[in-house]
Amino acid sequence: MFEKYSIQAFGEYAILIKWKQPPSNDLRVYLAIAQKSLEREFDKEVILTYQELLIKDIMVSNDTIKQVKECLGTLDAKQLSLSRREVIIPVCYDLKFGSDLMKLAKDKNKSIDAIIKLHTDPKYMVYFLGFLPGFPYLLGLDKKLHTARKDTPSRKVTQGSVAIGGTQTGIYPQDSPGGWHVIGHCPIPLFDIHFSEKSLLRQGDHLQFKAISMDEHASLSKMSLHEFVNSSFVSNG
Amino acid sequence: MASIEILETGFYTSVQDQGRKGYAIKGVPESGAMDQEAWRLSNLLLHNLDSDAALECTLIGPTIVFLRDLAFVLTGAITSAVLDGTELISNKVYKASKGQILRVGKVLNGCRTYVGFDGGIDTKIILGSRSTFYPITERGIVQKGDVLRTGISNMLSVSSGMVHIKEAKANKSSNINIVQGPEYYYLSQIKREVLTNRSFTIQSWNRMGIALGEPLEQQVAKILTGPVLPGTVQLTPSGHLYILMRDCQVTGGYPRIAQLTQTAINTMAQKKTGDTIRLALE
Repeated sequence: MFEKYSIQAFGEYAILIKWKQPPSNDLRVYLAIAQKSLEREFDKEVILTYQELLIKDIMVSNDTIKQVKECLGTLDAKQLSLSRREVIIPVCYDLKFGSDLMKLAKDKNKSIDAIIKLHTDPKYMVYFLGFLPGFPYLLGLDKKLHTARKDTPSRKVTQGSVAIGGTQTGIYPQDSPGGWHVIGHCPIPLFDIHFSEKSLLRQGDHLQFKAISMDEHASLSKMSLHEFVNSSFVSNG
Repeated sequence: MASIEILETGFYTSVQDQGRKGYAIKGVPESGAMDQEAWRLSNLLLHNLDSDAALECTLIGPTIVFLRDLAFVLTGAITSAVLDGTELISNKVYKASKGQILRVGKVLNGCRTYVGFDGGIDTKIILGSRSTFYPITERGIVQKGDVLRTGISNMLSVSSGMVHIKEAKANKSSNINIVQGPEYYYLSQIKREVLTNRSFTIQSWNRMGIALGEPLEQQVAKILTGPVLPGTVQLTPSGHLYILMRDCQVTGGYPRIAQLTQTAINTMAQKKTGDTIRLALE
């Protein structure tokens, strides 16, 4: 199904492999298998995004490109134990945090509760991390919530803000300028240099948002990343 | 051991080395010295380890007091540096005595100067690098009053001027070599010619990227977010070119029309507002 790809040099020291299929859970599983195999083959970092893999810091030559093709030609899905981890992300959708929630609901002609339900119902896939340290690119936002980004980005979106932009939803791991519509706040840090894994989320995680009250938000915000990943919010499946 | 204290920070002074490799899948930028060649030369001249960190100074360098006798060197862009009133030249190892004050001063022919110290700056290694990048490190730049340690010296003995490379090779070339990027084919034949036949002016810059002034005037579709690298040339929705530099994000959604060679990235690191460049396709 995913045997066809294009392969090209990306500068002097990187090789880009690209698939034509639109992002999907199936493509992501395939890419993850290919990523692991290429990492093993070359002992290099391989970045996975929606439709692409990038092998970094590698000498580009006809030989290495041939080696990539051979590696991709002999992928063995059984070699890989894919992550079955499920992470529940608590979100307080109180208007105090969700500064754009009221307007979004109005524009969509829906109640705030309906918006929250549309956001918390799906099981999302953490396709990959990028943009900022620990920021997840999630697959699975309900089409009814797709919303064009703001024309003028906000100068500062607060760390922990849960937001919608275009076809995507995500959580800001740190204060940052941003053009997404903020609908809530997650009290758990997404990235902490003192946490062994650094990032709360891993690519390939299954993720679901869960609505919490202001009180729950206050008590959860005292939790460290280490405590959180060992709590009932995270199950290793 | 405590080796230097920052008396004045200068415009934007950070600690830099080769950068962070292997953490892109967690979304962590590479960082590292903008001009890797100049940074490497500082280590070479001081017999430091390849991975030792130096101070990266931008436009206006810091003022530093030596807390002990220590050798140092200036590489990269030439500055008006003085050590207790004595003018200094680039690429020459000097020995400072305890209490002496180094004023790195204004950058004269580029953008970034590196101050390497015997033994390298010994701040904490985080994710494989000492490069400052907030919030991976506590701060993005050094601050007034910071006391920095240096590592173990590899020099047998040091006297001022014992090592000196004559040619101060701050890269002043305006030729920036590129190769085709993944979305080069998005450009029409005419725009491909414009890309390499006109000069571009640096409009704004920082460690994340450099924006070029003259638009290519071609509207192209966005791409699905994909991997990007330092040196990637993006075509933004306004038609302007944006060159990603060392602190850039690991993924991006604008077409990647070209990629700078490694040498060209180092050359770009010495450019500032108003400088002009020409892109040359290899």
